[in-house]
Amino acid sequence: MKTIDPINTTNPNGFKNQASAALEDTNLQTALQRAKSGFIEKRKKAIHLVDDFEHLKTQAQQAKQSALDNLNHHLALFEKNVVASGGAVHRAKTPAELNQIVLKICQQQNAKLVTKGKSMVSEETHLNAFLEKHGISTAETDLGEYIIQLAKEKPSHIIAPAVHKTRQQVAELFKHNHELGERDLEEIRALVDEARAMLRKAFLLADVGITGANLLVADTGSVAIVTNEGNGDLTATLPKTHIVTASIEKVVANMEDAGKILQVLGRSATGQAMSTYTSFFNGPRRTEDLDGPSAFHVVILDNGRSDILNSKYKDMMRCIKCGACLNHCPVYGAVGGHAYGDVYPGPMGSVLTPLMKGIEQATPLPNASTFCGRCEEVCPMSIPLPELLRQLRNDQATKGLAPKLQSMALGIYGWLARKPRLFQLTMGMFGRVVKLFKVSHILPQETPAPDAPDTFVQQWKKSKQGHSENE
Amino acid sequence: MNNLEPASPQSSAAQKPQVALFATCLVNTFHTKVGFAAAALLDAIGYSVEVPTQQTCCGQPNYNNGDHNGAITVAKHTIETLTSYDHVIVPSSSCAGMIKNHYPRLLDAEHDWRRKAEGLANKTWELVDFVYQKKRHALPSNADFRKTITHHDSCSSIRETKVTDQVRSLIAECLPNAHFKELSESEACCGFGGTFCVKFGDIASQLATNKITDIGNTKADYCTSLDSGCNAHLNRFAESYETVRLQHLAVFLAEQLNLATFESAKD
Ligand code: SF4
Repeated sequence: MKTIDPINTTNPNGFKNQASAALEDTNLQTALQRAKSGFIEKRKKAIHLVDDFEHLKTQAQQAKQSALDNLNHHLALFEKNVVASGGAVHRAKTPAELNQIVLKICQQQNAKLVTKGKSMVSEETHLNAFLEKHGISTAETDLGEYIIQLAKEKPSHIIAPAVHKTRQQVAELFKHNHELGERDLEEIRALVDEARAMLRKAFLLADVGITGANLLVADTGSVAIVTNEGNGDLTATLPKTHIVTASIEKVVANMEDAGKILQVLGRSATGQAMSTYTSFFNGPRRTEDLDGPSAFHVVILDNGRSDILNSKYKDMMRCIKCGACLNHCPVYGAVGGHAYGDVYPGPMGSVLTPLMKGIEQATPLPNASTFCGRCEEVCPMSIPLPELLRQLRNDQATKGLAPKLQSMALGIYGWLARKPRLFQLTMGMFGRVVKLFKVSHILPQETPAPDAPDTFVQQWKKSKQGHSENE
Repeated sequence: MNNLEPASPQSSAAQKPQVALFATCLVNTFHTKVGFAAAALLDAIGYSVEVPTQQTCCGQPNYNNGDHNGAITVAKHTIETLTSYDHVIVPSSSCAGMIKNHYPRLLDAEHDWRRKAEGLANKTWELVDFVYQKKRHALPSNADFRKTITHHDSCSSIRETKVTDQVRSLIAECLPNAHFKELSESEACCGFGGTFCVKFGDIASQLATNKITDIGNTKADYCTSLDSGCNAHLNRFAESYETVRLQHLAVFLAEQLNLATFESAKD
């Protein structure tokens, strides 16, 4: 029996209802609770182990910023060096363009099966669905991605796509999809082994391997990917063709700068000094190489990023997709990633989604923050996420997208706040009403007696007058 | 100068250095006791407290909800109201942070106003920080208090005003026999977030429930905090924990140290 997963029909403007549903989902709550404490603790430990993490952050930010400041130059240099090593670079302005380019390469290879490493860019463009529509099967090889592909869902986290699932749910999913008979899938190890066995076939059969990119190194033309499962390497090296899907802001000047970013990436993401596998790919297989693909393509997506770079939101382009802001966000921690209704969840997604999709397409997201500031604190690239969200709220109001009642109330309040006497009278009255109707949640435990309903300023004035009369 | 005796409200105000108390809209309207307790603490360490009557709100409701222009006019009003005082004391990390960190940024485009905003930012203090840094030794202590306390670090006290260690030290000095127990997730947000708890009620209530559970698990008799916003929000859910009292640290200290408050003067 198939059930329609509501997760696949979510959208950013439906955040409020999606969040409410998420709060009711006990499996999701169990999974989130476990994941959250793990991520936070691991990061804390990893950072504790280095002498001066602030210094590493500064270095990484400078490396990234200098690449962004001269982006076109670095992208051109990257392209030149990829070509020099025998590969090809393609530029895609829109998700549709990227999909077309990838499809064309696959068709030239007569590809029937594509293996995929984790790539958020391909999530952005819905590449899997597009290829499947054109008769090309896709097999996700990252364990998390594999799980959600089986479940016909979308990633709920940018580095841990299936973090919303409990181990029991994954076991059920495997039993349902792999016809292997009765077996014990109680232990994580058993789950991993089974996935590995299933994926092995795909690795050997695939015609094309598609991976994402964590970094594009301009002066060597290398593509770096970091994984913990080694699946990225098998995806990149076993098939005859390797396609990298990346986005423009991934480029850095040189290996030294790449190293600076890698130093903060693993620690911020999973609390690792370095991910288990950090691989650099340089063009197709050379004659003296023992393995590797015979064709190497890098497709670089813009999808609104150039516009963001030219706007007051340009800081967002320093993001290295480490996921730390998700892991430390109270709202993400409570509702998970699917509630956000798009590819990028959490604080970084609440900034990116409206910027990439249109501000009116994601109005709840910038508001879905308590401004606790923890995201900015843990962001290795020091992106001022709360400030960017605040700017987006301001843009919403300027464009007339804020709720009318809210704008009206703020208008009145802002006006009152410049009329001190009237402000005291109104607030006193407001307080009286709240106390009268016992709107208890606004009242402190030490609720003032109802016969003293004045504001503090009014009470203070009276008590002072009392004093001078007494003296 | 180093008056170790707690000053009484009636003592001559003339020789004492003056501070302005900016009550904040929440304290002004609902948590008035926090205002009186703040005044009592300041008085006890030898300051003469002035409550400027022109004060209203710091402007955060507008600032955080997309009305930057509204926030700018409120900020200017507040700057004009407070600019003549040597020290401005705010019994809230959130509102103190607004004045200290956000006013200058908000008024960046207007040179003169930015300068004024910076001037005010430099002399604005979160209440407990001020008491601790300036004259904590002038506060009396109460060695008879032997109960258990925990403290909720509001997000703004962690990140805007950075008043966390000061709280622990102040409690340890004033109540040497108190048993202080940390929350297990002291950096987790309680879900208040100003208008956030109105816009996303069920997420906010989940976060509050997490926090209340954490507080309950400490088995503390008191939970203090520096922000009435968090307290108001948490109080909605605190009923189920009859044993713990959630209080603003100023109210808690004024009560436990038996400080004279001006509030009683009206009787
Ligand atoms: S915004 Fe910062 S913390 Fe969040 S994913 Fe990007 S780099 Fe990591």
